[in-house]
Amino acid sequence: MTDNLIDSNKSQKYIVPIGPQHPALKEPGHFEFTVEGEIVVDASIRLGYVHRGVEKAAESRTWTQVLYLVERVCGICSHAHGTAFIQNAEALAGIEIPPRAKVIRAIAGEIERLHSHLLWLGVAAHEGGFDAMFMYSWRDREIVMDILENFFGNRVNYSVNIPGGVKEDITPEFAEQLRIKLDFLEKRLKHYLDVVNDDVTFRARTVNIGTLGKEEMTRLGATGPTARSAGITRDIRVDRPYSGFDIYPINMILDDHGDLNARFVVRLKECFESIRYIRDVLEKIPEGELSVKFPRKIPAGESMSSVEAPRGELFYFVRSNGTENPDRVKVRTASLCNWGTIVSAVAKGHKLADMPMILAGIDPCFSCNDRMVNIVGKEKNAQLWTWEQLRKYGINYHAMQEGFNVSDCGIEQLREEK
Amino acid sequence: MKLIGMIQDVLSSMFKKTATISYPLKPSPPPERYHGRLDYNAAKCTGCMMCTRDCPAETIQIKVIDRKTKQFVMTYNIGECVYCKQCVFNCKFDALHMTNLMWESASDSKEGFQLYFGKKEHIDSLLKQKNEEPTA
Amino acid sequence: MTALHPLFALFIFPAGLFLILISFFFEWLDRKLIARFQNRQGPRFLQPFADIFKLLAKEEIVPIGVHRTLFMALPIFAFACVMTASLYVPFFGFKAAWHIRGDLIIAMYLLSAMTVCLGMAGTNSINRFAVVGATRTLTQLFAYEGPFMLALLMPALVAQSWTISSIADYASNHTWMIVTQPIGFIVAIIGLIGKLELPPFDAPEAEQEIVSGALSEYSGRGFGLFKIAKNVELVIGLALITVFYLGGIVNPLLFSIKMVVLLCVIALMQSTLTRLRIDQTVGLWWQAGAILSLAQLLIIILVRVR
Ligand code: SF4
Ligand code: SF4
Repeated sequence: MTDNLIDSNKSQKYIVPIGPQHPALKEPGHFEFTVEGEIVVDASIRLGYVHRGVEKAAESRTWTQVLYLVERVCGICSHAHGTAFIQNAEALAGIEIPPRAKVIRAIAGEIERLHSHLLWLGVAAHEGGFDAMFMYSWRDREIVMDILENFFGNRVNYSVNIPGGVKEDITPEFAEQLRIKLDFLEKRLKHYLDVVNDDVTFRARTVNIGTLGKEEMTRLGATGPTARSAGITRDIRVDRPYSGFDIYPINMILDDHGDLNARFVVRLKECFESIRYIRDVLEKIPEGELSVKFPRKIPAGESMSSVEAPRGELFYFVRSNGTENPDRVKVRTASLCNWGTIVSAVAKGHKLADMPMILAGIDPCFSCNDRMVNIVGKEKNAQLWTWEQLRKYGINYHAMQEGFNVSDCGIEQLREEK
Repeated sequence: MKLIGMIQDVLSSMFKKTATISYPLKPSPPPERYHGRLDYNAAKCTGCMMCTRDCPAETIQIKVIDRKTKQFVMTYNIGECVYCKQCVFNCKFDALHMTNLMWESASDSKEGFQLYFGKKEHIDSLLKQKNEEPTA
Repeated sequence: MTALHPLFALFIFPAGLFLILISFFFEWLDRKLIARFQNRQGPRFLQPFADIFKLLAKEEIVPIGVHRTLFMALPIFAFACVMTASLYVPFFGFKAAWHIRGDLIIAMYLLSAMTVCLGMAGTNSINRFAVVGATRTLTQLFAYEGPFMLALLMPALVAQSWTISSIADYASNHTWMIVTQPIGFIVAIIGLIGKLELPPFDAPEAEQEIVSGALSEYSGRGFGLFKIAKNVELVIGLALITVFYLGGIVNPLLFSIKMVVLLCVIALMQSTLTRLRIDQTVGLWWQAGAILSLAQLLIIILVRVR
């Protein structure tokens, strides 16, 4: 009797599931942590709960409509998505947008980075049970939200871009307002940096937690602040400067510890850099038009562009076939690149209590995550299926379930005829 | 004090006003550039339909009743609209404007968000048509 | 207070109904203070009352696979434990409703029994979060229990009595023990936070990892009772520390003020510190807490011997 219950030879797996509905994750994702006591010995991840078919939907919309569609891939880095897409469209159409528009795009991107990093700071602190930081940083994030609302008309999907330029101008009065708000924000951010660097209990939860070295990070293909926290020099704004950053360059922030604390520090320092950048650029926005005319039809061709979203490199591939609609839009988001660092490297050996903070450490965005991935590995258990194969498999599978022979009903012919 | 980083904020907030805005009691007016309800000026409209072509929510519609005398009915659903302002940029005749009104909209049905701009009799006839459609 | 009928004392005042109502007030104050510390508005005055009222009115769901009787009985038992413990504690400047020799030990064990109930409730429900939570609850119990107990026993040593009432008498007639035994006071107040599983020692119910810890499966009445028990425990803990360390039994107003000041300190710690991992909690208690309280004990003994 007892033999059935307790098999001493086989160590029993004890799996703690987190998600898709869980207080730690306000977005749907499923994690399974195999624990021994408090130590996590294995981790696995399942994504795809919010797959919405954005890439497919893009194919049936006009170029302008797609701009607003991709903005809604992610609620936090909406400007980055819009910019990455529309840069492709503009490149395909052979349009050079006016310098003033470029710079305003860059400023909007940096404001977005501020808001995203402040949001993340709060969430990550909350995951560690540090609610005071959560409340204060979100209170201060409200200032950034107000800036966005005042300038661009919306709080979340602010749609700064329009094909061929930007919508709204940054007038001198707005620039003045912006400076005042940035001054306050900088003061607060300095304070948070002090807290992150000095607070005893906070340091106890972040220093030397989730450490990943430079080589490992490079191997797993981390991007964005996650990679920069381990000393990898990887920042699209610097490496391949796009709109605005080619006119006025921005500096890259690095740290070499690679642990959770370094991720806090890098993101906060990035905020300072963003503030500095906005301040500098406000002084010398080039004069000129806000937008140029954008054709309805775009010549056939293919284009790629990357944008440094707050979470890392955001990549868009667009193919046009000469019509009003894009032929193919492919999105690759930063969160997806960064998951590997957690699930396959960091998680094992850490305490269960550290998992929420480590998960939050890469600033995961779940709606960004639900893209299709092809895993091409040495093992043959990953396959590519064509639509036909998939259809045949489906028919066979259901036929088998129902218990009749497929060859009887001539489905093979049916398929061939089609 | 450095070792407990937040203590300064925490203590001083006891003597500060809360950051909470007691919203319905204290209305917070929308900023000037806020994207709210659309405004439509039939006198300027030409019925070119540019605005309807790029609307990502495909919610804005212009019914042409008489192009010469500028009789149009513009309908759109503020519940479907994503407030992107694309239609305003598409309109070359300055007939559409974005106001910062009606951002606190609430309704218990989709119809409650439907807005009509135009002459009253046209709207009524349009509505009548609509109501008769299912029976016909 | 001997004039009171024992049943009256048990059900209405100072234990029983009165205590529960007061505990709502303290819960509200705690939440409100934390909210203010975080620059928020916080709940309305009747919020805790409404919470409990709603919980008690709701259906209690008994999950499949648990020991049904145990599942139903544990909240009642936990509640009974704290209510019994409250009989021995002098609240708000009134003498304790009941006292026997050595009731300090009884009260403290009753409070621990309540925590053990929590742990059992967690292990009884087969939910994984609950089991991890229960493990943490019990681990934490072993961590803080020793130092906390020592911290409360030291006044007893000084007063040379194991009866709460006589310690209270002693405390009223001597200098405040917070002055003579500061370390004991600090250990006691941190121990109370640990006992109540409040931040930063809230690893047993860290919602980001294990939802609601040992109580994940509880709903309705059971959860409500556990909640009341915890609130009452908070009041008992505050009252004990006030009686022992802050000058014994005084008039009700002064006593309440002292308790509220203590609550402020606790709320301050709750809002400024990050949650510690369970291994850090245990380490902190066994390394710092135990040694500190032992040192304090040693000082007391040396002083007394001399
Ligand atoms: S604002 Fe955008 S969504 Fe709304 S009607 Fe205009 S184009 Fe359509
Ligand atoms: S684009 Fe302007 S002019 Fe043309 S139909 Fe729309 S509102 Fe009228």
